[in-house]
Amino acid sequence: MVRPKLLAIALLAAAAIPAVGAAAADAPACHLGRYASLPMTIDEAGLVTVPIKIGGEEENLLVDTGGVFSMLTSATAARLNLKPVSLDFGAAMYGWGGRRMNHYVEAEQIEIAGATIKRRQFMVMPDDFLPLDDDGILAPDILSVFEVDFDFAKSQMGLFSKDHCEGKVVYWTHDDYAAIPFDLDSNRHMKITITLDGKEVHAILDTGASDSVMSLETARSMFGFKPSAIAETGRYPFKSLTIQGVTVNNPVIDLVPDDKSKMLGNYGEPDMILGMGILRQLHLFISFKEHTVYVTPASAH
Amino acid sequence: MRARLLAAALTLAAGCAFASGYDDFSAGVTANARGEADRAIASFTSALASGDLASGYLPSARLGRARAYLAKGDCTRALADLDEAVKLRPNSVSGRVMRAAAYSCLKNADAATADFNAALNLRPTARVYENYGRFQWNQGLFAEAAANYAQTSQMSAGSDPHLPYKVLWYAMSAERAGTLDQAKLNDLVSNIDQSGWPRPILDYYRNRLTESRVYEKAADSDATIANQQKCEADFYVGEWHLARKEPDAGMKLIHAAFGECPHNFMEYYAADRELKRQP
Repeated sequence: MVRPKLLAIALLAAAAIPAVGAAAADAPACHLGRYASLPMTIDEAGLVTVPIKIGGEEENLLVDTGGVFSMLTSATAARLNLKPVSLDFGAAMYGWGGRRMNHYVEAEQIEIAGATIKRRQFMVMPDDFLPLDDDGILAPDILSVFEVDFDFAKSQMGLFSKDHCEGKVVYWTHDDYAAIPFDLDSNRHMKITITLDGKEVHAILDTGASDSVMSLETARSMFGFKPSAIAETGRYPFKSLTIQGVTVNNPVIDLVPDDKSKMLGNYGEPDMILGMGILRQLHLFISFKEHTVYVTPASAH
Repeated sequence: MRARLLAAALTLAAGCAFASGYDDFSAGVTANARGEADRAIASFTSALASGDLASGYLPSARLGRARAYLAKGDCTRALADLDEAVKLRPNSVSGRVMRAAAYSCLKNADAATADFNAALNLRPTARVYENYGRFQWNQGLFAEAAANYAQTSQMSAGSDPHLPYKVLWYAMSAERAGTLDQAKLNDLVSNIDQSGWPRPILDYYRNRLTESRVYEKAADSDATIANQQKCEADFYVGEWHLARKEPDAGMKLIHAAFGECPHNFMEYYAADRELKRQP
């Protein structure tokens, strides 16, 4: 997850919408048009990557719904001969831990879901921000052009057309599902309200976080435990986390001081990041059109 | 299709009996994150044996089980999984770097070196140089380690909060090799935009601070932080004495670092390695 600060709005304008595939264009009114299925990998740390072609080269981009702008590592930018350009007016973005990023590159062409997007800009991020095999991140600036389907069990990320009938997206099962509404903030982060041990907590869905983390200060304020309760592990033994009826028992949540995360707990920021440790147990269909995420257990088929 | 939800049907119970290879795979990832190596090995083994784990996850399942084996010190089994992971995904840098660790554990330095070089050919990133430098330092290849720490320091300039430690490891390795270039060290230090810890140790290696002042700076914090800073000072100052052929003074401090550093500190592992290196 990365937060913007003083970022020129014009820098990375809305993603160009790719040409609609023939299947979607000719589809009947309630057809769910799939642009593409991208082979998805979960690395041993639990993070998701998909292959995207940039300048004709295939790069592994980490899928980060908690990001803001798509990025390339400085090593990837150098390998692709993309020249970093400073943001204007001293603008910068700050990542987890307050890491500063203030350069971007422009790729002549990227290919995603079979569509070509010309002149795409990416922020440049430090190499060590990502696992060793990753070349950058794919963030909501591009993802939100589509409806995005995470079929973790089958290792496929589906990109669908937004031209579908409301609520008619759960194609993978006839079993029960949850429809969880979310607010999309100005950074295109999906903000939801969850219930943690009976108390309401504001969270964002973040596939770019390997684990779920919560503001230590907020957690202590809400649940009133002593520092000794989490001294060894940095975790508190929460009993249940519920999202609109979807319950995760004994959720693993790291508690991080606000001065370390520099992005939790303050006004306007989430109390918690719901990361892959929990999300990968689910099948998620994110409808950016409806501001709703449709959920079943990952194994439901 | 029924709309909306039923809580009971969607309850995801951690630790329950899993039904599919993917669920076992996911449980293995969770177990590794929790440091539960035995559970991780069992889960990844079930996932690999299930026959229904998506092929895209097979390399990660091997890597995950290898990580758990390495955590238990079972380097032979780790190597077997890593061989398979690298075969399945030849361009995996993490597979190469982890296999180098397994080779190192099995005292096969040549094979570890080959994997680090292969990793650098695939992606010459700051983290690979850093890992390579640590391996070479462990091997007593101080000049080579210094070169890789200088490289990772240059590549990390301006962005990495761990940059001071990378520069410190350059200084320590180069001092030990007898090749410390003060102009180069000053140049690397100029990229560090923080004046707090461990800057006093860097200034000690730059001959700008005395040993006693380093310890005064280390103690200038709350008790927990001060103890951690003292352990670091003991290790790096001890290494400086070893480089100056002062083994008694050096090893006394290395012993102290080993005894007082938290076990998740790199200085703890490095002190352990130094103690084992000494005759």
